[in-house]
Amino acid sequence: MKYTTPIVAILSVALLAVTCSAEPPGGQRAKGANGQRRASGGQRPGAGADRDPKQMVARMMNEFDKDGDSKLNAMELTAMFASMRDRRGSGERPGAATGRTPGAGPQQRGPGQSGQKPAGNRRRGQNGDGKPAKAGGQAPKRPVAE
Amino acid sequence: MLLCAVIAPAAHSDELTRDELNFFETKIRPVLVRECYGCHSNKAGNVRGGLRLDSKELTHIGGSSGPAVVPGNPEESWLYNAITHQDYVMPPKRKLPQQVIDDFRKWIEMGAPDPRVTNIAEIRSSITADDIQQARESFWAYQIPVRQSLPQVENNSWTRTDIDRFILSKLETSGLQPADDAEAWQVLRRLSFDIVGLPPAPEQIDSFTAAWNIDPDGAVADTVDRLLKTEQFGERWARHWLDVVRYAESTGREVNMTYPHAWRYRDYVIDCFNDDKPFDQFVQEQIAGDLLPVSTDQQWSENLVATSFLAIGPKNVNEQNRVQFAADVADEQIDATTRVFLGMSVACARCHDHKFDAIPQADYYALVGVFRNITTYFGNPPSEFGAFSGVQSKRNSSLIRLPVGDPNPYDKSYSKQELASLKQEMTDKLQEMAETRRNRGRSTGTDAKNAQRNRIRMNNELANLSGQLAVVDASGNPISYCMGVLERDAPANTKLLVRGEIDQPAQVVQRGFPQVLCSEPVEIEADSSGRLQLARWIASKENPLTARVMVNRIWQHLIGQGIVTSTENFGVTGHLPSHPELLDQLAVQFMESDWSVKTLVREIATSRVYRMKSTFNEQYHDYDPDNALVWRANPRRLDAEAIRDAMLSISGEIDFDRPRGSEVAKAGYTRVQGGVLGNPRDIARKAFERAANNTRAASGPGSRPQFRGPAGRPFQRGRRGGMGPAPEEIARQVTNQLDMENAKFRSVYLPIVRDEEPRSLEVFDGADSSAIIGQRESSNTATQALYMMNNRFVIQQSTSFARRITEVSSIPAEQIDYAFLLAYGRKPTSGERSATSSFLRAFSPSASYRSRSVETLAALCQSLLASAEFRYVN
Repeated sequence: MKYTTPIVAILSVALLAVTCSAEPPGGQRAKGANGQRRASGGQRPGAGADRDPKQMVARMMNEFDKDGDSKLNAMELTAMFASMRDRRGSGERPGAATGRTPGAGPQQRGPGQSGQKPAGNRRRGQNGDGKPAKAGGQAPKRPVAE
Repeated sequence: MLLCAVIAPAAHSDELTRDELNFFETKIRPVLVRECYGCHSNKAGNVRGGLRLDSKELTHIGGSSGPAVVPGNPEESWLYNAITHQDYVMPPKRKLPQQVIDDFRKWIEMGAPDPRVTNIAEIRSSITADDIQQARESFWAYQIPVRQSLPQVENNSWTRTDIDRFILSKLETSGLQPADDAEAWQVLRRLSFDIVGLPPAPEQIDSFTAAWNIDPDGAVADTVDRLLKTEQFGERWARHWLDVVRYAESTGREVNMTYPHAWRYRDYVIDCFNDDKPFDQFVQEQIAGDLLPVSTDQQWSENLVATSFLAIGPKNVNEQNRVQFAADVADEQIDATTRVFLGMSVACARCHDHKFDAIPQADYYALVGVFRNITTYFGNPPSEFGAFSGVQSKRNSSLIRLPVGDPNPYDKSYSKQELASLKQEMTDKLQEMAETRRNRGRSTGTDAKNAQRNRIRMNNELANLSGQLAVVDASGNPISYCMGVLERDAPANTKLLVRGEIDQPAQVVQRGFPQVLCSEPVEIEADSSGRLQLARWIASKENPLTARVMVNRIWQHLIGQGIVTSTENFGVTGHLPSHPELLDQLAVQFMESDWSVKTLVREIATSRVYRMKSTFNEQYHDYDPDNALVWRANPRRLDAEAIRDAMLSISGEIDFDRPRGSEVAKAGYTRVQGGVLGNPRDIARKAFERAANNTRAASGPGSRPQFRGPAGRPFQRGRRGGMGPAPEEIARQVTNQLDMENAKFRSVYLPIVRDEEPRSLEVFDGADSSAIIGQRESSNTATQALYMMNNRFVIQQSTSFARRITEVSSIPAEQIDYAFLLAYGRKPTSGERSATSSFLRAFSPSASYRSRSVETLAALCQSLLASAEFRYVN
């Protein structure tokens, strides 16, 4: 069964849902509660919301329209939603290369992967002064002989 | 002295170029005003997340997460993070155009040129250079100690050492005479407790008394030499030092996180005292061990461990503001360094000029410049999965990898299967966490609260798992870590802060040391933080305080009170020395003996002053009630460690082997809650499971299990009818984890967790590990008596004490004699012997005198341990 007409509508709803998920838990953003930190991990799910919707639709069709008929059947649509759900969980920007450890969970990031900031309790590995910490501890430099 | 704050408009905008200024004014400021000031500005009266963007300084300080802008580094700048909608979402309802985001990135990469400098230009101190010079020239403690000429005394025959001459001279001037020598057993007991913290054995008492009757001086000298050579000397004197350096194995404060590697510093201090490491070297290693040139990796490792001195202080890891936390850590380090080594407090100059000493506020910030150039390591390193932390532990830190690993590592190792299992568990938890996050917002009411609780629980579990994985290598073998400090690459001066407020910066202050202590102006190289220079200056003969302060500490521990009774305050508000010439003489001798602590201890312990009686003299007391002139020995209550160690020693149960690590190290990096290392609920659950398993295993076919508690008492029948430890017994094991009532090692090895010190130490005025304690309190309270009457450790030791007596002799009179000899170092008087016999008969009227049980003798032994004479050294 093909869903020709509703595709754009579904995608729009999906995009809206993604955008709305920037709201705090419960969806009850208090008036003026601007910019509160998201407790969930990774990037904001709506990080790609500023992209051109046409481009997004094109990319999704390209990615999920396996039989190439320019329509998404039930299986393709299911795969697309599953993919979106995973991205929401991981905070992955659609199409972005993450350099994730193979086999690692959706929330995992290796330490020292530049440009990514762990969230939730996994803030950047820091020393007490805010300097980045290395996995396995800090190797000291041998003092220079005088 | 008044503080003069000069408020002046900014003279310039940090020399911005025209292009930089234009860029800021056209691309950055309008966006800040339009998009950010509404919620992050002092003027708007709204500072969400503690972030204010009004000025350059406030922008760099940032809010609760850290600096909003790190010049040159967009990835470390939370402002850039937020506008690119990574961890934060700013502005909250939409994203800025990409061009604006690019402008901000470019601006940060340019070094964040910003003309909005704070208006406070300079704080001028009311303490002038003349004031400092005058204080340096006139105040006794700021003069370099010089060798004194020996005073003349009338009673030359009484003196043995230079110390005696100085003391006797003052006594004669005042018309007083020193007390007679104490009894031989009293002198030996005093020596033994003072030098090794343990009572003398009966055979030592006999041999010392015999030697004393022939040659008292020789007997004392030989005994001192013997005691100084024992390993117990280091354990005793290290504990004095650990008091001063606020040693503990946790952060303390609201969120009490453990320091699982602090024990390395404890062991380092013990070894230093046993090796008689020159005190100047000891000082340098603790302040700048990471910078001292070394010839071997072993030496390097030792020096790194020594810097734990700067890392073991109390910390508020729940502090929201990173800059505030860093300022507080540096402040604590400065306070510890100056009070411990220099006997003066500089830390009150954090907010204003010192009210009494000639220490301007700028001197404090000169030291801040030295200490802010270090990174302090006190937490746990990140694992390969990243850095995790409990919900409330916001300020984390890593650890230093030791160049030389432990040949016999103490920390837990994992097999490959265990390691794989831990990693799998970690992965599962991460996925569970991701699932929970995906589902957030879908639940309401009670479910939402449960979900929140779940997230917190998972956070903590992730932090624990990561903590376990972080400290082992790929094969599961433990990596050797230590706490400590390391130098940063680019030393920099700091700005003076008005009233110590981090958002009120004033002028930049050059790195330096307190001027009043420096006879010459200090120059610190631009490429050096000055910390090594500071360490060497503190440990030099040119420093007027270091040797005096240490000599005074040693004198206090041996004589009962310091020559300067305010051991941490040699400043204007401190007490004047009772014998300034003696203090100087000893300080000079100390330095000339290569800063040898053992030599100084020997010098004092072999003096005639040391062996005086403590007999009270009403006439002398009226004249000198504080015994400042030392006309008699000061009767002293044993400190908490000595009381516990003495009980173990007398009972014969003491274990002199040094335990590896500590109970805290065993628990790893975790939060201390309710006196328990870790989550009390989890630990209790595991304890119950373990007990249940043991019971099942022991109740096999044909077996008749004997369940016994730590005190050898049989466990009660469980509530469900099966044999096993009573619930209250398990609860006791869990909640008394840090008391370690069954431990037999010396007290210096007991776990010292801030605010949760072991009961055996706490009740007898053990040192507050959150403070610098040069002189402990010595109270005599009802709780101490109740402890000695009811505590199971005391009861255990009394029983062992009684068994020891029965093993030596079965004759009642000899048993009583031996009990007194062990507990008091002397035999009972005839009256005491008679009273003791009566007590035993009354305690056990049904038993015959000869068949008196150990239980009856144990009651006698406990009475002896609970007596005042046992707890005091006269």
